[in-house]
Amino acid sequence: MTAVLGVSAHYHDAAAALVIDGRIVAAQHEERLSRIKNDASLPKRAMDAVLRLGGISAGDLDAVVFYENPYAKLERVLVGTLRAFPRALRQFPRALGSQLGGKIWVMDALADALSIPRARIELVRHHQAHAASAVYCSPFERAAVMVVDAVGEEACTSLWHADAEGLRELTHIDYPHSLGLFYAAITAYLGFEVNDGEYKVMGLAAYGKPARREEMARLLKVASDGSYELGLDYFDRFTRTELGYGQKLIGLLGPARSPFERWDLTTERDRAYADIARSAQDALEDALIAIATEAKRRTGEDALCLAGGVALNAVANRRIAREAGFANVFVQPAAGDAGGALGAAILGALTRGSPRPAPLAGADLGVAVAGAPIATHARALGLIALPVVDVASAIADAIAAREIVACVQGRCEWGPRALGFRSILARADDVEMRERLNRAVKKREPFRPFAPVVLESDAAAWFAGGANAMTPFMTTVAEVLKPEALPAVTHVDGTARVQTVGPSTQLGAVLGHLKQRGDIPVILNTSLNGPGEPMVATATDALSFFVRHGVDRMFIDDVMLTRPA
Amino acid sequence: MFARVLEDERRHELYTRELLVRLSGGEAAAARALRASVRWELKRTWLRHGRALSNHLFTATMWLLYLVIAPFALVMRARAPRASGWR
Repeated sequence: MTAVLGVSAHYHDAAAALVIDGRIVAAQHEERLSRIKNDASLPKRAMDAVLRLGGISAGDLDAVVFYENPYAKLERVLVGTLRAFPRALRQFPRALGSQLGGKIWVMDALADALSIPRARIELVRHHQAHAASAVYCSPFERAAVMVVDAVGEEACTSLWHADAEGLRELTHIDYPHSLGLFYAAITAYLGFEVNDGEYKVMGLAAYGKPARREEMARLLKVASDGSYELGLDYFDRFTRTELGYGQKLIGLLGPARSPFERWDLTTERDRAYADIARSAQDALEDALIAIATEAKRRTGEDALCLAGGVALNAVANRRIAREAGFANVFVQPAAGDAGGALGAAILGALTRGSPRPAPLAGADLGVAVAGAPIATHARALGLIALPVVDVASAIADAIAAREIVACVQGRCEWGPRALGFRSILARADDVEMRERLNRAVKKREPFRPFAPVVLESDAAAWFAGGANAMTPFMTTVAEVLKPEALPAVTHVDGTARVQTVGPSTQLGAVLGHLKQRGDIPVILNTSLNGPGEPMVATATDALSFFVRHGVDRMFIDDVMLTRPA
Repeated sequence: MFARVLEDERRHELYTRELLVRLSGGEAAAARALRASVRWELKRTWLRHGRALSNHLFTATMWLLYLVIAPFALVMRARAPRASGWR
């Protein structure tokens, strides 16, 4: 047996993944177990969880592979702050304190946490881990690979080529020229939290017009060879590190939006901010298409795999799939830093002679739930807990009856998207369901859309282009063909971040039942969490969620929870 | 209003003290527990101050280091200017 544990930690989104004999056995985000959103700490709970899921102990591991090289990162921080002399004077102690006070000792911390010899801890490069997580989970034997994120050790964007001989880096663009940092700065400028609010910018962009293209061209210049350059004067990485943008950007775009104000897109002021979001989104998409086109030119491959936090921009992924010249595009569900843990584990396994993993069939790689034990607790809390024989049919009945249904089934999702295992489900054809869901549970900004889920076989009837390699993991958007029939899941630009499922999955069975009943076989699917909370993982978290939030019904494994009348 | 708050606070003190005596097993044991908690609080204050002092020392040392190695930064800028584009 060859068992390799991959770990990502210390920046945002810590996670652990386990590969045994070339099989992806488990992958788990730390935040879902610690209940701290975007928990970046060493993922002790997640490591413990994946080892239990694999039925092994830490002593059985052949290697633990960390997803980046902390020494190379320290060098980049040192050199970067020195280059910026004397502007980085205030940042220097903080940056070095953060590196020397913890991050640099990660190999020792991992050896201590797992009680294994330090010699079993290995390092891979950040973008190498991302690239491996994308291509080795994909259905493609050979592919171009594009990694775009904020920053790894030094690289911010890299191109790779994967074939039978392995995974090779072709070229990269170094820090500080980073598309991730560009988008993060705009996110902060618009008053959203960096590393959490980027998808809000993406949703807001649909409400705006590209009226600030000229200004964006000063922030981000794209060359004919697909490379790009940031207008560094507009970004302040040393004195406003938490925001990333400087006074010059405020001079260019106007005052930044306060994070404490409510959004009202009927006002001219907020529509102007939507225009900025749209212009930034367009600039990002143009840069990504140029990079992908360069990847096509350099590799000649028909398939493209994307990874890095920027690859979670589902709107950009649709344009890449249409315009960059590739026949197929794949984005693995945890394309962000958490996914680096999976890439690191796969690289460690391949180095030891394990076979390449099978293409990722589903994202249910985390901890599992069992209904029976939680039913006792639920009854003690005064809830009604009933065993259900046909769970899919019962869920379909509740959705058809216009209820908001919380679905906690099997193992939890890998990646930021709820894909039916820890989801809230509702009718997609009733706009009132969306409003009620927002009032009762999600409390989102008014411009953020909800996503639909549909059977693969029905996808083409409802969404332009039908199913593709990205739709099982909800990493792209598609035009809604009958927007008037799906008002709860159609965004203002007529698109939806669609998920497709096979008929053998439980969500597929739910959709099958709805279809049999004559209902629309598309349902609204959103993550099972309240505002600011990580997604639910365990049955206890689920019960706690049900007590606190106004969903009508919850299905935990084969137990149905309702409230007494 | 403050008089009423004070009265309420005294009531909290009284029942907390009564509870401490009951749980610790008598007046003498309660007094010992209170002395131990004062020592614990003093130790925490010492550690807090130590931490704050070491933070200031670290920052000052790093600033000094930053200034000392600044000439290397100038050499680096001259010899290896930051490049953009594909590498």
